[in-house]
Amino acid sequence: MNNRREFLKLGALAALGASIPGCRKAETPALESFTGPLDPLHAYPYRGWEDLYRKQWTWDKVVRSTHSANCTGSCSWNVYVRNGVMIREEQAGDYPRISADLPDYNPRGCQKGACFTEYVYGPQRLRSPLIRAGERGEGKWRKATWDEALTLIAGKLLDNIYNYGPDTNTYFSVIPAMSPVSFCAGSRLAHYTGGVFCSFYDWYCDLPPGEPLTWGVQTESCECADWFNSKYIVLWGSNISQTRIPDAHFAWEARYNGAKVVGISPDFNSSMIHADLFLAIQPGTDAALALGVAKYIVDHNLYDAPYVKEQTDLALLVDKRTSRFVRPPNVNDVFFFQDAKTGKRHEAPGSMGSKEKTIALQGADPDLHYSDGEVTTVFELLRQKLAPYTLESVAETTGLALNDIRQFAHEFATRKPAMIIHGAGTNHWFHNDLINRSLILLVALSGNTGKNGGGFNHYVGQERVWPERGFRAYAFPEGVKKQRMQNMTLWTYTHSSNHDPHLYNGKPIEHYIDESVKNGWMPLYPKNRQQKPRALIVWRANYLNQAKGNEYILKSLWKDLDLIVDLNYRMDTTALHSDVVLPAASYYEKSDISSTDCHSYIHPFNKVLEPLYESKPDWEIFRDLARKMSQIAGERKLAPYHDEQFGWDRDFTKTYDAWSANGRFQQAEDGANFIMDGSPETKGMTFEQLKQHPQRFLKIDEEAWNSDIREGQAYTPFQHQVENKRPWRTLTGRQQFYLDHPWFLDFGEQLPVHKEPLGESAKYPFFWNTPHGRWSIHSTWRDARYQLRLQRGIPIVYMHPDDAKERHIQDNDWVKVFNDNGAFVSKVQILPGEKRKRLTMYHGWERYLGFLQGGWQSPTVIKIKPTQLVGGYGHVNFRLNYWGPTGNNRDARVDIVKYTPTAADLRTIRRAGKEQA
Amino acid sequence: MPEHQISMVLDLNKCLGCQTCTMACKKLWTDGDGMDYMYWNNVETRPGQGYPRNWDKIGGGFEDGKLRPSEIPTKEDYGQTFEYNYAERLFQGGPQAMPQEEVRNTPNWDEDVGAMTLGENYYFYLPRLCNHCTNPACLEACPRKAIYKRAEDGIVLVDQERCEGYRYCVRACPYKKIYFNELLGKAQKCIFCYPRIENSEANACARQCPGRLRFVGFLDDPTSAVHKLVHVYKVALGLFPEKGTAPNVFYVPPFNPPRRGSYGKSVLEDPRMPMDYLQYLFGGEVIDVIRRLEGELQRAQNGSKSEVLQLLIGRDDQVRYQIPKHGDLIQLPGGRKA
Amino acid sequence: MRFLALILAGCAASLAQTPLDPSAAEWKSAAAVSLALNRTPPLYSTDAPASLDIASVELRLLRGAAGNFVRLEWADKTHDTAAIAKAERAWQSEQLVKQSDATNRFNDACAVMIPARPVVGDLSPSLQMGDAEHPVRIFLWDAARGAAIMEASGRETTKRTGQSFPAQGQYKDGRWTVTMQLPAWPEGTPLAVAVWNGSQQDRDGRKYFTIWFRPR
Repeated sequence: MNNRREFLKLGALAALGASIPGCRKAETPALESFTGPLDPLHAYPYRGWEDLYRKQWTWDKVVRSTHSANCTGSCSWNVYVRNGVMIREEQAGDYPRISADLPDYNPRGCQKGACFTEYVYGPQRLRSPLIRAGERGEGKWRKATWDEALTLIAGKLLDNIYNYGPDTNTYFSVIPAMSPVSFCAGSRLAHYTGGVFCSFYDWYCDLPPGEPLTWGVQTESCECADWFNSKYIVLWGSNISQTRIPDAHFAWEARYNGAKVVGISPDFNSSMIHADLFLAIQPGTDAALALGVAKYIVDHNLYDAPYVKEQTDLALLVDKRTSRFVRPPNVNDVFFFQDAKTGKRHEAPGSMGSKEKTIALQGADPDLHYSDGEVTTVFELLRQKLAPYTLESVAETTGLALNDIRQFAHEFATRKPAMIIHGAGTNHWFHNDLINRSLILLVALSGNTGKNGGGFNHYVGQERVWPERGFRAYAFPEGVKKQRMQNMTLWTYTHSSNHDPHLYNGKPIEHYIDESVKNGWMPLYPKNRQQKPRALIVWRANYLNQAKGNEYILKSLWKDLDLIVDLNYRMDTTALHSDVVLPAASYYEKSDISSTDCHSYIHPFNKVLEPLYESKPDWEIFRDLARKMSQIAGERKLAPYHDEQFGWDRDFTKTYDAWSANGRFQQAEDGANFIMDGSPETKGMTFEQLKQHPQRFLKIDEEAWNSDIREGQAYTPFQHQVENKRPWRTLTGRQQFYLDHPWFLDFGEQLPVHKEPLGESAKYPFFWNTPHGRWSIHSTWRDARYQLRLQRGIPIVYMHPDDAKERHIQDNDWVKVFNDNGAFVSKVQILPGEKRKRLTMYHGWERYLGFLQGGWQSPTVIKIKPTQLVGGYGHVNFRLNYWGPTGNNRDARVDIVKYTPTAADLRTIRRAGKEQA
Repeated sequence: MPEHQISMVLDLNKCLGCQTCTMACKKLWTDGDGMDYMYWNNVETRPGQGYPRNWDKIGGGFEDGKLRPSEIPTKEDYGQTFEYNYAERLFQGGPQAMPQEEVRNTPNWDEDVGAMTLGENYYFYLPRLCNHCTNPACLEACPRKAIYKRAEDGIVLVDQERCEGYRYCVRACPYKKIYFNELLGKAQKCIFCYPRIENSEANACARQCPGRLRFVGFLDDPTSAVHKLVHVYKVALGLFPEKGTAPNVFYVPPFNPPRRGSYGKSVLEDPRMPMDYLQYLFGGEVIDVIRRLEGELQRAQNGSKSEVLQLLIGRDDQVRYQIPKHGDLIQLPGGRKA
Repeated sequence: MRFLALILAGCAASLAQTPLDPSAAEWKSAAAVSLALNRTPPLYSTDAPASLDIASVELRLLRGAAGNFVRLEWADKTHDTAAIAKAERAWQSEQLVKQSDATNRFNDACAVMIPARPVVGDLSPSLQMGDAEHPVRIFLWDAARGAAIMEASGRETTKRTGQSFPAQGQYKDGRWTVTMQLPAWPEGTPLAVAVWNGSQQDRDGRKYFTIWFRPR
């Protein structure tokens, strides 16, 4: 190598030496010392220093734990401690293998989990109880003792109960699955004090309403390892490479195992780059594409007729005049098909009113095509409904190439098993139920639902509490019927100045809300409509930052509430705008359990270290609050409060006793063990056992699930129906595509149909798109320095280059995005893969970071879909986080202009730099 | 030449761009003073400016057997490393939280941008670390000979005691994967996690990769996945082979989906991502590799099993990593491969 | 002048205190000697050539009980240093690491080199860091990183001893003044000075240097 060494060994320096007086032996320079004896390409003698890095890879102890940020990850991590400090984390990689053929779940995690320790010690961390000393949101605080803070809260909650009613106290926490013990700490307090407990899954629009409508379930998806079993994977509005980081590998590995992957998304996003086919669909036209494919399948007789006849309602008879199912007189829940074998009308087995607890046809052959003067089949109605969705018209509507759609339709129908991986990209639309139902129709027609590697699998939000029975008993001990449950979309809409100007069949949404509440379809608290909510307690959530209709809420609801309490390990936007902030232990300082719909394991949170600073686990905070309420009730000598709604005399001197089941639940681990012991999935496991490694569920609760856990196989739902012929959990006992509820008939939505997104595109030409992204889990990690340094440091809105050019906007400019609801100012990034006439900002940015005005939810307003207020229809009834109006926001439209920062803005932007100087 | 050469293969068709590797490395190795801007492992969107900005366009490496001129990137080329006024905003009633300076560049500034627009937009993620070259330009450039290649595994290290921070290595590296720690006055770089490798544990970037796209083992071990992918199936290539350093990190080159309306056509016939861009990065051989991979994918999607794709599935870490205990290195089966 | 260092009379004065402050009164009594600076030729084919921007360095020497005090002064239009230990602001977490400001900045520096062993007669070690039989000690001062003692016995052999020595630097009105407190050396020991100008990318052998001289 020395011949390539570039520095001039002799030449200049030798000459230099010779020419300088004082140089020893200048005539003959010492070559050995000049070139040196080392040849480090081959050998190197000074390697003692290498221990430097070996020491860096050492630790004093390592503890397994996880995170609960509502990411659906439920990942097993090791946290490393050195000198009493949590220095880093690494995936434990200890999920047991399901089978030799399936890729394993290791190493499950993402870049955010890999730096959670930053939060543990970061400047956002809450270190002691704080009581507001300035305006809400100003960030001025008075440090308080725990006793002082809890006394304030407990006193106020009691005041509200006795003066205004218990339903003026409101509780909000999300996603029990990610840490049920922490969740239940507060739900138990709400339960025993009569508080209102709010939903999250529908409010955040993660609930796919098409599932309760079609299947009578909340959400049922295969675990992600089952993706590997597929031969045709359609990523429909789901950017798995960003939003399912721990699981995405199953899809890309399935591709190597013979699957084709199709990506459907308006933009060329991180998942689309790996797809075999990318369909850059016009936003909001997904149902049109699905119905076009459905028509192709029907027209080409590519549907799975035996499956459709047995598993769906498509063979059921409908009365042509009323558009309602044919039923026996005065019976609501019995249905018929025409038997092709006998030519006679045949009662469809397995409906809610059927005596048969099976859907097996027992030799009958339902005629899908039967029609006479009075009746016809759902299938025939569907065929008529599909008529307009020719491939040509679908290409026009969706902006896709005809060739691409045709091949997609054909492959979808013929490659099996085929599955749809469904995400928020499609689910966050106003007409999400119609989109869901159209997509579910595809997998039903092709006979894919209920089969490994097939089906419609929705992954948005970690809603599945696997050990559900134990969880429910723990969360609401006296039963859910004795708990005030509230759909959060309705609560927020009603109690804020959010107003939807749109008319639905000529009537404002308020008309439908009133009807629904009056009919007892949806609850609305406080029951006394003269009252307004007074206290809001938020934990494990960032309600304000994430709320649709943000500007309205700040101006109304936030001014009306007397007491806002936030339990948190970091100062997020909701905490910042609260009155009392209670420092919670971080994920690494508490005990809890974790499960997800993405896999079939349960594993624990462990205390890596005792809670830092003055923080406490949520469990202990609510325990102390319950104690404090009992103490104050005693001091005030409060007589029991007669809660009329439940006929419940609430003795608040006993709140702590009730909350702790007379002292039975002392520690978080007690709760974890109670939940596991009370659930078939986990019965026999102990918290101690979980500490070893994640444990796969043993079996399932027949009441809750629709498939068994099978040794050596990935879990996929609906095998009970498809293999064992058990009825679906719907009115008809089948996958129900026809809903003959009068409101659905009024809106022409008895069958899946494509409807245009709402919004005034003439006034505001851009769709406002706020998808989940890779850099945060909702608002968590949005303010984390290590994440931000790999982005652009502050919120950015993405824009197509041609749109930017038209508006004279350049990359990294400040821009203002606005509509009638509100505005924000952020930076812009020109993104060539973005759809034209759409603006995207990955969601979750904290209002306090980087915006010069407003926040990413400023341009939104809550829009409730009338048909999602329906109840009292077979399987369609309000149930917390199962059925209720969704807080959709994809239909929002905005405009954008370049923004020139004011002098005050510039001071804000450059302040830190000046401080430095 | 070292007796053995450790190596990594990265399958770019599995990369999620999630940066877990980046974060894993940062938390383990570059979380100390003066290392804020360093990402020994980074992931950049290609085509794009890269990290540091324009690293592929500023020379380095060898030309005609001699070091090729280059330059030392500025801090802004690497990306700013801002802090925030959170304590002030959240706890003291201060103004809006902002980075301490207006942000003009970060290591991932043009994430997901790529080239062309929507219908024809193309890009992929390129995770990068030190290539632990057979012919390291950094080693060649160091006047103090403080950079060396370990005989037992070919890992290239900067002696943290003898380095004087002259940065000839930073200038010489064609991949710009040596960094200068201004506070310590030392050059620092990816150490291929040698403390882990010595304990048969895969590198943090590989071990923590949720996309499971990294394969680690000895190139001269015929049983290793890396050996098979590079030498037997010939589906992995080094980056910028013409830069003359003989890198030991290899990539399975990326595919993008067909352009709008082109479904069904060969990627070679009607590519979304132009082949000359891939040739720019991986050399002329990449065309053959793409052809081979496309054939294998078609076979698999037509219902046959493809041996090489089955390997790339990498079902668990035993498939992906073959890292014998340090003391056992000498007994590696097979001889040295050219 | 063959093999002789420059002999500079009168630049060494004696003192009792330790005048590390470059503006200390003691320095006024010490005579200044101006040493011509030379520029090393480019070491690498990839190096840009450098001009002779700094023509000379002014040296003063004081002998005292605490050792020899050297004061070097030279004109340098650019102040090249790094704030390497940036003060953390109160609102920042204690956990934050200190940041680098620059990656391509080189610091101004200077060094005094003396033979590590007593010299015999008029002979001086090689200017290129001595050689195996004639090792040298180098007292290096770096504008950002302070003082360090190094040893060498020929080019490429320079290594840090881990020891430091008292030194102070001051940059004012386009001039550097650096004072060093060095161990006493025997009468007649030769001395050489090097100056690095950061803005000229100086580091390593890319620098300004004087030839050996012997203060009297």
